[in-house]
Amino acid sequence: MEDLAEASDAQLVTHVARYSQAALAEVYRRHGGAVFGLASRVLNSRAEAEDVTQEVFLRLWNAPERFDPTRGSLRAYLMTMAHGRAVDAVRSLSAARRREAADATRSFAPAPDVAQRAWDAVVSEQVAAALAALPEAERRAIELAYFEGHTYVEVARILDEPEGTIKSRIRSGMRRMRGELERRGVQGAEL
Amino acid sequence: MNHADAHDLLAPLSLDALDGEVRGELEAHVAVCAQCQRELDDLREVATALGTTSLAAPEGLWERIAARLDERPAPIEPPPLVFAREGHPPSARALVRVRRALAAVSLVAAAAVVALAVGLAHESARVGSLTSALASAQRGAVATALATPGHRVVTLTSSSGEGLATFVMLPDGRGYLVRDALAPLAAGRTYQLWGIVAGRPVSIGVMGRAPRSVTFTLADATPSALGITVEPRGGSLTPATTMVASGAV
Repeated sequence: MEDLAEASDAQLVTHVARYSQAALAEVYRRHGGAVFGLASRVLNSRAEAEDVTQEVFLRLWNAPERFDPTRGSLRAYLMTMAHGRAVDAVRSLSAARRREAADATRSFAPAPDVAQRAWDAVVSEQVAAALAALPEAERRAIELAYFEGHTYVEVARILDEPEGTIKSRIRSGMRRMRGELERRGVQGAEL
Repeated sequence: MNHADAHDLLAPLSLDALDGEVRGELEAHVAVCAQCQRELDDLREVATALGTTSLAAPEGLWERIAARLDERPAPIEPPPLVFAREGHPPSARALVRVRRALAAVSLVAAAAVVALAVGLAHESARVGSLTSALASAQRGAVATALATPGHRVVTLTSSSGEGLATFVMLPDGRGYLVRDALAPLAAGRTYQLWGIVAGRPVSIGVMGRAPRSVTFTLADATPSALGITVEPRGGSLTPATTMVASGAV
């Protein structure tokens, strides 16, 4: 087998489609930490985040043809799947059970892919800066939706604002985020 | 949902901040609108950046994933479906029972799909379907259907709530598959679509082993629910295996 560490993400998925476990392991090495990190941020539970991470990688294993490299990065494909599943879980869990299930998500083993992890650290730093540059109202709406799993209708109720206002805040906030990230040199293709 | 309304909701969708009917309608539109799809893909990349942390995955998690790659679930016994008795119009309670039964069977069903995909699919089947674009003729028909007044979007989900297939149905009985996440089956197997009419499963048609483009017409009955099963090639007269996905109309 050629050196999988040098293969592009799209090439790796082609190998996964041929039942290469080593290729899936390489995908996990590159993206497993980010998928787990997002799931645990939304779910606030390490055990449930592990479940979501397992589902995401098993899904890639079982249906690799679902990833379309012409539509975006593998990272975005995996993160979108992880976020959708995490949000579904949050919405189906009672608040009480969530609090019970919540546990510390600290002190993880070191990431296998050091370079990727270093880059992720840069991205998350830039994202934090980009978020901080947003108007407070836009940032709040995006955070409530994305990290806490609320629908924009719920966000409107929480913030006591009209739904239309929240919808446009999310839209303008996302557009601003895109501009901020580009300005800071973080673009989709590099993720 | 028209294009302007859909476009307006792409940012909330990219954050998974929609649910219910609106989400189904919007996803159905995005599946047939290249412009909205591009925009959504773009927004998903921004959301991905937003969700990026430098956390490492917990130790041992990969080993647990790797252990499941060859997993073959135990053979599936179809659980009994509870349908209304023949000759009686279904009561509301009977329909509830049907829905419950569908929900119960789809629990085993997600596992069935995984088992079939892992256990039976040939390598060529996996590699051979690397595109998921709708056939262009179908795309036009779906777009027209979504713009027709009175249309209904029906999402079929697995027991875990995963959307496995979305149909748009017109008042005149025509229906189209808008999008699906059904794993390709091995040769000799097919997905089959069922309507629950008067509490009983009625075959609507076979969908093939890797559905991409499905059109059907229901002559005179409106089903209360749709369900999908895996059947031998050619289909079955009665659902022989468990429902892999179901959804109320």
